[in-house]
Amino acid sequence: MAPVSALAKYKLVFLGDQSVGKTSIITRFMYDKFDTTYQATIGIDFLSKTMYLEDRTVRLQLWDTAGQERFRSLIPSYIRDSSVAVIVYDVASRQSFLNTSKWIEEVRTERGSDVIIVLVGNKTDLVDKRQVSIEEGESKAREMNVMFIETSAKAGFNIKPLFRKIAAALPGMETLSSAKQEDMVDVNLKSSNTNASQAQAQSGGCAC
Amino acid sequence: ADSTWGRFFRNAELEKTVDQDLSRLYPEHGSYFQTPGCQGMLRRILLLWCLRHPECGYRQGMHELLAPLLYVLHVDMKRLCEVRTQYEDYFTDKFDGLSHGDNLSYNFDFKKIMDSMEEENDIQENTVKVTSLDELDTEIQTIIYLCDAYGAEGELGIVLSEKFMEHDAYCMFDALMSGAQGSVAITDFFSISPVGGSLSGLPPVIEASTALYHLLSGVDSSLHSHLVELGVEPQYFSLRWLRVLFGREFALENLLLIWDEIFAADSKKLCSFADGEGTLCFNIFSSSRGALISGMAVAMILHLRSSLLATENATTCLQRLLNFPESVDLLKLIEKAKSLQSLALDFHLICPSPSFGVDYTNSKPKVVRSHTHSSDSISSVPPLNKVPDSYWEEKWRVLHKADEVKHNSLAKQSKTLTQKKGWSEKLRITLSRTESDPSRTKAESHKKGQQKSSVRRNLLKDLSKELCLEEDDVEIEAGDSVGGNFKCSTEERCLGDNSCSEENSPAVSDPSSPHSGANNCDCENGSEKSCVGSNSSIDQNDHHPITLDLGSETDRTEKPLTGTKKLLSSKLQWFWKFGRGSTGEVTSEKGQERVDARKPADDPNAEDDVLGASSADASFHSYSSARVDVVDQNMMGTLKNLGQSMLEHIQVLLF
Repeated sequence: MAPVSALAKYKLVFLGDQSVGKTSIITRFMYDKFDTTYQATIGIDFLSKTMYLEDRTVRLQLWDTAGQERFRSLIPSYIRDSSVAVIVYDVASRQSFLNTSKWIEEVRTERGSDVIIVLVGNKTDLVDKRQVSIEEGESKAREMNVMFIETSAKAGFNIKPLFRKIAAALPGMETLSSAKQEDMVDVNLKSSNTNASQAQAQSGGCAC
Repeated sequence: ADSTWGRFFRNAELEKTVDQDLSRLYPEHGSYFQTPGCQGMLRRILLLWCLRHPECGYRQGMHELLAPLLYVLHVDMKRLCEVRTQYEDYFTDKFDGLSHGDNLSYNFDFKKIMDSMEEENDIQENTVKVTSLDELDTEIQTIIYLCDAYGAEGELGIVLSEKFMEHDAYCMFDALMSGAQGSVAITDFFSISPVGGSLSGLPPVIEASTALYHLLSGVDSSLHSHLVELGVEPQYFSLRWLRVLFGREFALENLLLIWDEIFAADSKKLCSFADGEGTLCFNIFSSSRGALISGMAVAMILHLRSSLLATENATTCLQRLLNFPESVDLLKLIEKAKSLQSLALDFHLICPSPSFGVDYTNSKPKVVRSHTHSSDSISSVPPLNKVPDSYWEEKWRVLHKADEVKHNSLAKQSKTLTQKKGWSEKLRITLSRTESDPSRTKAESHKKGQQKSSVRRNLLKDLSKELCLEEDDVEIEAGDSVGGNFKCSTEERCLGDNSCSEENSPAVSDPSSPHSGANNCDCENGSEKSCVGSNSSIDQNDHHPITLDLGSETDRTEKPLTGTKKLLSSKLQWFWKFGRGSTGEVTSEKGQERVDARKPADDPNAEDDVLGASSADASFHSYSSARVDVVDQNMMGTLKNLGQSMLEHIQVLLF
């Protein structure tokens, strides 16, 4: 089948209500820009980015779903083999915050505890329209046992920390850190072993 | 739950949702679509439609189906106003001034009125600087004729009136969504549950997506299995394609041309031979409009063929599929879509009982395509329901090739044909070219895009210069008698396409270990070979497929089942063996070394049927005396394809 790549690949699926800023967060992360007018995502969109961390390089595959997509039969297939689920709400919309419970549930149903879930409160720049406090967000995250961060894609606030946080929590990171001095071109037996085990760890996740 | 307050809040919610999407509709044409007038109209139409269809409600994407309709109406209206002011004299109502006492039927013949008007003008020798109507542009003439208030057709000014624009847009939108008694209703693509009459038990959009892959597997099994192996499920990309009817994949001006084709196709459900026998059939193949939509989608996938085959990653594949290159030869794409449409309709008529994945959310679909077909098994296949796997693939090749040949030889004729399109279509095209606000901004944004991409394009040009040497070598190997002059255009176009698609997918290069690199090479080499092989095998026997195809096309309507099949299977057996022999071998030999692929090119007499160039060469010699022209053209076609695919692969390798 597909050749084993030297690069660890991780799938991140973005979920959350309509126009909470999923695409904006991704675009800020990808191109470091913000546009007030993104068209509504229809179905799903796909992007990928290589992230260079101080001790390793990872390839993130971002699956940007449409907010309105409550397609029961589709969402599970999006979530199926993802390592990370980023669940976004708008701090200026209580409803979108309340709905995150449903999204988290959906991910848990599909993946159990075999997935990293991050709760993201976006649009912190809308200071006087805020309906959900940071404390509420934090307590919900604790309650659901997921990670939490507040961001503003518009102001470029906390976007990089969000992805660094995700990268740090990715599975297989402990084993990789021992092989950090490896050169990308230098393929020896040791490195291919690491790759294999890493791929195994990944596919182990997919198999369920 | 159905209290007044309940309804009030639900409606408020609906309004909010609609507004959220409308406020970010077509940001690139914002100066048109974001004006309060336009927004208000779109908003009222959508809200009204959603209230009248509570079972469906508002789903994201609907606004993008409505917007182009409103735009077209607006542009038409605007154009009419322009013509009116410019040629005011022709529009003045001279009815009262005419002497018409003689007969009344006369009033309804607008041509006669026009004539008499001219006569009047001539006689009176007015100071009005009106020249003869005949000297005007035919398009203007048509508009003027249609604007006659007393004509039996009604006045164009009433049909295209600002007063009725919103109403018309609503009706058009409603017809598009509900299918207007046809079998293609876009609401179905938004529906999450199977609709009545669906035999598959799948939600319509999933069923249609499955149908697309089914059609793809018929015409290009290797690309299909590649996508399936990677886990690229069709609905991942086709959901958007179908829901907004390709609205996100093409620029507005191109989209309108595609919609013209789609709406021109009949959406009436065709009866299938398999109806009532409990056989599974794809609903989307059951009308010619649905089949064209499927054909369009598959043509788009095929357009990206080499770049998809070069990708070993699902997300990257999907990125490419959802960032369709802007610089695409639209007419060619539509042409291809149409030949695929006829295949899809054949699917429906013969209905080879497609197998639906029972639970499509679990377990990747298996690849169950075999490549081995002895000639015996082909002839023993029963005519109904069971068609050999390769049948459609071959038929597609034949059809496609014949199309191309026809296209080449009848290039001039087809040009004149396209000029003779219906007035409305012509009007539409010319109308959209007028200098109204939206189109101007469109042009501007287009320019910006070009500027941005120019750097990239220049880089690619440099690259192509470098590649030229290699390219030439290849060509000499392939067919030493043909000069390289004609190649330039293909090369550039191909480069253009590539540059665009590369640009759209922001992260193309996928650093991989040397080992995987080598694998990729083999794989590409394989597909390259298969490409070459199939092209040439068709080429060599060109005189057969053409006549055969014409025959089958006409037969199809009368006795679609046995006629076509028998005709094809009997005539195609050896041709099949030939094609299968090379392509089958090639696709299964991914692991083989590169050297193998090159060998036949060096020694054309050794293995005639593996690398197509040599056999095409042979055919060139054998037919040259009799049919120099035709074969020449075919050779050009082959070499063009060959060159293009090679260049593409080389590029992919370098990237």
